[in-house]
Amino acid sequence: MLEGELRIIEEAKQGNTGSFGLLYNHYVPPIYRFIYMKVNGREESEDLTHEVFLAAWQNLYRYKSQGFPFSSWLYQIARNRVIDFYRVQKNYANIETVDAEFVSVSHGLEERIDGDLNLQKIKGALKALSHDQQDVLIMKFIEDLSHAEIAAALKKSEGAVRLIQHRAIQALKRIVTQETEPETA
Amino acid sequence: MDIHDEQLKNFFRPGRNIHPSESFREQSLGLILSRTQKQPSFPETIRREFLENMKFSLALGLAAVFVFIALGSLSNWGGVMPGGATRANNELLSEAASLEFQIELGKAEYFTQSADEIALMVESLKNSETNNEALNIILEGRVF
Repeated sequence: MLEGELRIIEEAKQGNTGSFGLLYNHYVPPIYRFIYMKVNGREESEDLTHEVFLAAWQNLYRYKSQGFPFSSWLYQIARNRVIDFYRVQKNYANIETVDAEFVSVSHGLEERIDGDLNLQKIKGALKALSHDQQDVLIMKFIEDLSHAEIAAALKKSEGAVRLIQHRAIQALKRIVTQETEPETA
Repeated sequence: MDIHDEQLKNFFRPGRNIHPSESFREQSLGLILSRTQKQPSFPETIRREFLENMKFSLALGLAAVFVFIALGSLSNWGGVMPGGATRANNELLSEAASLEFQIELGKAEYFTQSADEIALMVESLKNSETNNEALNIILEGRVF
């Protein structure tokens, strides 16, 4: 959470661009990462991240602090943007629909750009999970958010988040085991 | 194979190295801040104010109901306690008995006074020159 966040948000609500700049610079990396893990490429991630912060700037008067970081609200916007993105871009290759082999092996354009095979493996594993499971794992293990923060972002109870996480880990365990079995055999 | 939090964090570690480029950040922020912020419309402002007031009123109302129920429960607690109802009944019976006794005393006093007055009137009838005067006094109800 940004220091003096509530005051900065109030200033940004009054149209203070410097204050919004502080919020933007603090929260753009996690929001970008979150979106990047859910869509295929850097370009789409940048477009969606831009849309998230534009929506936040334009609708800032709607924001009401409920004791959680500003990022909870941004994650809610980001989730909706990603859902809308896949709804509108029917012909776009969703990670849900991309073949697992394509994602896990080193032939993708994204992998050449990033030069990181592990990232492709993560996306390949996440692909088999539901949207909620993906969101919980990304927020928990990449962004280190607490269960309370994740619950606020997903508009669910902490218990529900723990359950989703448990199921996601079980599913991930099966996926990883399946991937490693042929290598060890 | 058991997956622990640390293993998961290691698995997802490459994801932590993802960062937006500096050029994107500058361009995006510049574009965003060039746009004007939306302001709430009048109906929306009214709606939000109304909802806020409703929340407060509802909280106040619920608190009042709670206090009412709590006080009601406390005042009725004596009846719930063992022997409480019997004690209350005995108190009521003794009060009723003393009330009746006081009423009867009042009646006795009244009859005593009226008997004396009637005797006085009868005496005055005997002594009066005309009976009509005494009868008029009785009829006017001065005695009773």
